[in-house]
Amino acid sequence: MNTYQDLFGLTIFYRRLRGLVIFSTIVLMAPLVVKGGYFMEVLFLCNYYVVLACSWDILAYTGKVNFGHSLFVGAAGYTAAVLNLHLGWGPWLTLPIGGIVAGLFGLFIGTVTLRLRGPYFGGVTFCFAMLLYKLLCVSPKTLGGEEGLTGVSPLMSSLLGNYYFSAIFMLAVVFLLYFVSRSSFGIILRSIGENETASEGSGINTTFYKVAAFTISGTIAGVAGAMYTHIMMNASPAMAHEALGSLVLMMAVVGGMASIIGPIIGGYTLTIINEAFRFMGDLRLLIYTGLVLGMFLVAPKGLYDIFIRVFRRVVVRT
Amino acid sequence: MSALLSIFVLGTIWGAIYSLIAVGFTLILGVAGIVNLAHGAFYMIGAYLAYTFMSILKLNVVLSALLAVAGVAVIGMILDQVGIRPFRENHAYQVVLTLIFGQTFCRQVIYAIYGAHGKSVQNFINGDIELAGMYISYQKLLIICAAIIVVSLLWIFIKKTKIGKSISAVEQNKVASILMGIRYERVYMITMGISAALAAFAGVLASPIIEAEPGMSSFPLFKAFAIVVIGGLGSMGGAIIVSLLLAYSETAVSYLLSANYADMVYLTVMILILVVRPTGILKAGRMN
Repeated sequence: MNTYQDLFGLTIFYRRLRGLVIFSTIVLMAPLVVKGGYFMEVLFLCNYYVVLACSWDILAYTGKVNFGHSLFVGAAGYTAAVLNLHLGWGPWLTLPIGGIVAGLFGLFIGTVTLRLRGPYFGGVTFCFAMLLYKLLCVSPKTLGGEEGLTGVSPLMSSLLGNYYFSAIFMLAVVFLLYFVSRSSFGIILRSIGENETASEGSGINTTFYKVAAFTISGTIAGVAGAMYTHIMMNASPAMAHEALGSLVLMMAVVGGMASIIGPIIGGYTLTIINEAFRFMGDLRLLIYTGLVLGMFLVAPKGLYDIFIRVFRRVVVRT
Repeated sequence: MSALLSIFVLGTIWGAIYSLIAVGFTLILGVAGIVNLAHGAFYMIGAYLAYTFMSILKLNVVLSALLAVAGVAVIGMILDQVGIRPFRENHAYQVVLTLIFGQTFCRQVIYAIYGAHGKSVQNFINGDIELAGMYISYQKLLIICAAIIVVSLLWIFIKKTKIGKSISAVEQNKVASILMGIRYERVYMITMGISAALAAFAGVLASPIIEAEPGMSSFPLFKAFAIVVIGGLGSMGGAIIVSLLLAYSETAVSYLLSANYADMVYLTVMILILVVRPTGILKAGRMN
């Protein structure tokens, strides 16, 4: 991927920016073509998962793999639900506050584990997500216990409004990440991923950049979690379960880690595959996980890498 | 007094099971640098295979335990050779692969075959022994003895046999061991097999005292990770000691407070260790 960028220099920058603009036009125009509540619901889920996968991907630039992304979703979702139910605050307040709470979680876990090399970070994120899940399951009545909290006020009055809110949020995150990845901040993150020792030798405070990336990642995931709570009008412990963290990770990895386009491809592909196999009933998840495992074994660098290769071959030939 | 004794007995049982899991986890981590997130799945498959052989096929206890352990060891070796071998140096790839394989795919396979309901295996042996006014079943003694025997056998295997020595050689210095003519790919495969077998054996031992269900792979995995972090990465003695301490404190907490808080113990301790002494309590240095 990198050699390809080097080869074409700035051209690919504009080509990719043009691609993103086309993509956002399609996303914004989708409700004109797609009718019906179910399909809108699926498209909303796609947007939500793309946001999660993209936010997960920020840290992936540094080569660190986060297994507990659901921690942010759960923490922010519950914050939003509690503020809304007990204090009566609206979505415009609970969404940012949820994001901040999730960001603080990221700051804490990042400060403790990201200063260490080795497998500490991944394992600890895994454990933390499960701890939060366990805590929420046994939580007192104010937090709803195992059933979670219901009756959170809706985000928008209509399904179309929800779709546009999630779509615009998703596009904002994608464009933000796109420009961040090309800023010096993004370049430093990538250099840490390529060779951490060399970056440290060049006078970069790698711990600071890794923790900053993790905090940003958590904040965005938190806002997405709060949004999900408001749209689904409930918060349940399942939001913090590591299964969601694994799902987000699979989306980003199947699409292509540490690229902007990869998580978008992964988010859409996996959500649609997941919905498409609904008719299989009980076997759905088996087929789904089997497909993901197969895709990962065939294309460990992600679907994006395969697209690029095919694209390059076609371009070189013509 | 009897409360103390029951905490001790239950704690020892779980300590034995945790040690088997954690020793396998730390073995493959130390030798090949793989953070094997499929380790919990190996434990789960071990328990389910024990259920299959003992409760469905009605085989002999010893034979079904051997078959279950051997089956999981083969699965581990296949995972190592097919999935991990092409990416021996890429640790991020390995964790993602083992996560997708163990925590999602294996769980769904088990769910598709056995369903979501918990499965329980009948007792290995019946009868009990009276000790200080308390009845301890032979079952519990058997679990403890079996775990002690297996860990000692592993110790002898690594210290005395040729393959075991080559495993510890690769752990200490891979390049030097290659120069000495050790076939390191085979060592990795065997280590993965042993590690998977240990997890499966823990699952077999736990199968009569817990219910096997598709979600059971997560907590052993977290506990193994926490034990290994607290004990020091790659340290087998540390893993055993911390497993026992963890099991005793968990049993005490669930006896005094509630079983729901037992899982907080290891997480709190792990965070403290990471802040204060990231190399673990026993081992000095070697953090990469």
